[in-house]
Amino acid sequence: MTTSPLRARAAIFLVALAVIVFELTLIRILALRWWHHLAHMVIGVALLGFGVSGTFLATVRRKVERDVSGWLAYLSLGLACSVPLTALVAERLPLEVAFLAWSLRGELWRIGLLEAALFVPFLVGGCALGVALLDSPERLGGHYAANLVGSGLGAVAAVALMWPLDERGLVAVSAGCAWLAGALLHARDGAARLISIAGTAIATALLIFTLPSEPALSPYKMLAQARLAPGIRTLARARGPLGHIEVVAAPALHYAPGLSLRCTVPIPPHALMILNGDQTSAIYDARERADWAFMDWTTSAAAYALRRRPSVLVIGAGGGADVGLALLHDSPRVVALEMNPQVIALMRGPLASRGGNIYKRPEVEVVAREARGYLAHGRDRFDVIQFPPLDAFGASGAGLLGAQESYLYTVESIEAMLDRLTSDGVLSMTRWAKTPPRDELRLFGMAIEALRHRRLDPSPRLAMIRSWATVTILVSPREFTPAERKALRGFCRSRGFDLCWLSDMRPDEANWFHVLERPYYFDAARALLGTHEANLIRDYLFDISPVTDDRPYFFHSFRWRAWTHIRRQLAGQAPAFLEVGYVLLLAALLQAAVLSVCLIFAPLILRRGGARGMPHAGRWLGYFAAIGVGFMVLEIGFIQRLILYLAHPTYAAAASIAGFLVFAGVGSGTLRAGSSHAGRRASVTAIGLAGLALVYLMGLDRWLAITQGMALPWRMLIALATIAPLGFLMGRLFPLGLDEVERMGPSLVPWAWAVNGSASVIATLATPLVAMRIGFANTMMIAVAAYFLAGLAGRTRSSRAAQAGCGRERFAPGSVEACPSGWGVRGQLASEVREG
Amino acid sequence: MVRVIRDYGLVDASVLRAMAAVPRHAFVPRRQQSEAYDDTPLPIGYGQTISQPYIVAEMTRQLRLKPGDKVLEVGTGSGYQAAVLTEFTPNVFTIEIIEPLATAAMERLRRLGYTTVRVRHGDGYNGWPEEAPFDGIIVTCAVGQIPPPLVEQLAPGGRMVIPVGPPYAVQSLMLVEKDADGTVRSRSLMPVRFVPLVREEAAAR
Repeated sequence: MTTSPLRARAAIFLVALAVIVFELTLIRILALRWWHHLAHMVIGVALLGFGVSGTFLATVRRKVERDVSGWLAYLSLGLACSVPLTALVAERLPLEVAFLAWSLRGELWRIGLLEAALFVPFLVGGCALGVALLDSPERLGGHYAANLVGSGLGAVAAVALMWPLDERGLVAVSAGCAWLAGALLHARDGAARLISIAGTAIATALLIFTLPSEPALSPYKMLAQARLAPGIRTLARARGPLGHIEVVAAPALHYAPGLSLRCTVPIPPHALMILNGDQTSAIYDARERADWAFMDWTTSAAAYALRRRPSVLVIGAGGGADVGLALLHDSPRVVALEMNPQVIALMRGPLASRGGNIYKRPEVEVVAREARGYLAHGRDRFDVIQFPPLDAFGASGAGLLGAQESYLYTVESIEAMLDRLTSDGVLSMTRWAKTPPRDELRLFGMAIEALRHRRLDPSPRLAMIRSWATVTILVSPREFTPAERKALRGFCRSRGFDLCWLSDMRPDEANWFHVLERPYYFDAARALLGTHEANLIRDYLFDISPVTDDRPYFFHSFRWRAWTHIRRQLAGQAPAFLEVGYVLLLAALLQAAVLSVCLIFAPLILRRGGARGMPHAGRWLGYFAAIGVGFMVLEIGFIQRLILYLAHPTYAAAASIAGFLVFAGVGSGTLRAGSSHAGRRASVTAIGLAGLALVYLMGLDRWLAITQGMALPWRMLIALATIAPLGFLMGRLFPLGLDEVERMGPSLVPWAWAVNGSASVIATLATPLVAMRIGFANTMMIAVAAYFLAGLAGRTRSSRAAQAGCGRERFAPGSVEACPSGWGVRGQLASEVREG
Repeated sequence: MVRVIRDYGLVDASVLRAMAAVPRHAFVPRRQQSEAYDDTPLPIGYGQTISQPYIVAEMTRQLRLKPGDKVLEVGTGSGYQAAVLTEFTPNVFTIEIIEPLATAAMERLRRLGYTTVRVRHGDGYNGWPEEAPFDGIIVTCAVGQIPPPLVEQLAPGGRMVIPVGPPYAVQSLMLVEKDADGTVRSRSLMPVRFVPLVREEAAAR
């Protein structure tokens, strides 16, 4: 490369940053258009784009080496153009994922087109970063570091930019960075190249200009439906890293979910606050206390039949309906917990008067905090805790949340809430009633588990009631008294709600008002509290086993072993019960495996006939597979742990990705090219890393718990510092291994790259699936085992390699057959799968 | 299509006859013509669907309509359900809030000869008070809410059927009945007999 190292590294930094900003933007676009469940499939394809770039460069290496700087410049400019083009396809392609379970045939080609569109920028970006690493060996350390630091900072920048910029703005930043990289390298290289810079700028700008200001929402999302209402008006909008908020109102928009059929109380005029196009809460224009009376006709109001003038904690206050319910019951103090600061700003600002100034009432204290963090470190106790707001009706019913984790719905979370109740307080949890029951029974079982952990008999401390639409579970640290049980019976009778569980309930009290074929809830509650608990959980068609922090997939209740029963019983109705989110994750894994073979391995086999005959090739390919698996499993595991610590998946992903990549960049950047005994060093580093990961696994939760009470910026810094030693060591393994393989024989290098790339992609998609089965702690052990095995593989070869005395300069010109392009970026991309 | 519906265990001859009489393909968008008689819901635009044929048949059966009954449908969509209802009674009233759908359904029903169906563009939340009470009501329950005016407009002895679940995945039906004395009760109905315990089902075989 004729360009100065500084200029080259600036370009590499910009390209790496552009790629990660675009990747995060894509996840956001797709989540807005549909739901989060396409992210896995899409990112799997994106990662393959990186994988294929290695194979592609192996094919054209000799041409590239003649003009590395020129190739890097053209590829950067190509990336600049492909970014808005892909965004355009992602935002406009008429794909309807809601119908996948019914008609895959009709949507398959559209999914293929979407994936092809997503593949292009990641292939081009991967090639650009790969080309840079064909530079002379003495420059590679710095190039690696620029790549990884660019990627790491890209993750942070993308999250920060989500405050001021919409999706089009984010695409422009990504494309702009890529264009700037190309321009930097081309600027002094003559008229023809200047013309290409100008031409690309115009094309990119035009493409960005054609992008819509917001993606075309799935017509089945709540916001899309609301917009069809005559006279719809948008009252307010806000956006940030936590999502898009739109507040709309129209005479024909009515929202009072789960209201008793007997309710004759008027519902005040209201607006809808819709998060990310789907998650809805109403802002009722309740001017007087009595205007909230309609809320007393929901099952959520049951707790107020048991406690008079209680102090209340509302988790997820949103538009304030549950706060209004507390005020209706003369609560002297309401703490409204809302993790999204934009919701609070709206409710205190432009929507204050419309919502009856509920966030400004003297009895109401608004806390901008995520629930688990607040519960873990506050001291106040409450008579009633209301948790949580109902999720989107459609998404919940259709299993679209199946692969999405939640730390609110875990046994540990319920225990934390119980800790914040007064001695006779009541925890009230409400879910949609499903047919057949699923989430509701699981939540009931989790409450039982939480009480048992406290050595309390759950039966007299639990109550469950249901309406035609919702189920409410009440939990108290002390037994419900006869007077309270009588009050609850009266509450249900007057509103037409059914009792599902009370410790002194007779079977003939169940199933009166909203009649099911059998008293499923009562039967299940009795089984869960009795000796048949294990049988019920084992034999139920859906997974209703308690969910813990280690396996936080509350919404995943689909069981393959029950699928044949479901199909036999429901015939053509069965697709309605398929958990689309989970099935798409499985499909993404299968697709990644097939495409890895077709796009990465097949070209290598066709071109070179494989790496047969090379001694110990298998061991070293195993090494690269192991470090690919280890990197991704560890990073995804960290993101999971940090979700709880940093209170939001977006922050967790940003900190984890930035931490791992920047420190991996430092780790690789401090290696000297052609260092001696690379194999042995790789082995020692891998085994050391396995040991360190094991220590983390045992002590990480405790360490994070100690510092959980600190402010978010401090927790971010602590998270980064915690990641640093791991990232540093992880960053050294690939270059060291590559060094050793390069000494063994250049033809093995593309194979190392291919194996590592494929293992990374597959591990990324497999990790959540494995975690759903065995939990994250056990899944993290896979990373420990992978690094340990990598250490063993390296150890064997290294000693023999030393004896053989083979040693050429690493990345000597003409020796690199394939390019380890952006392996760190690939890791960071993969971990973004968890960001949603 | 009728055979598939019968396979679910729905053997009510009048319902099967009605399902056989109404040409579903005439209510399906052109690009979905090849799937018109498949047992699946199909998109008709604007985030609305034409329901799975079996669900249409089951909802119709649950209304237990007699000739001369008055029936209200909230959410006309393509007009298919309304057409099926006219096989039982000419007094079919249907409301659609999305204007283009209402207009298209009105035109389509007239063209196909379903001239007794009265289509209104408007907010179904308020029902059709001028024509109330109704012996049967079908209402699409989008966000877990049953409009109180509809319950009021249900005649004593009347039945209201509500598909529960998102439009592309109706998972169960809800039946609201009003007794002669005005007392309202509701029931959750699985479209087919559904046993939630694997073992229990195995034992029953």
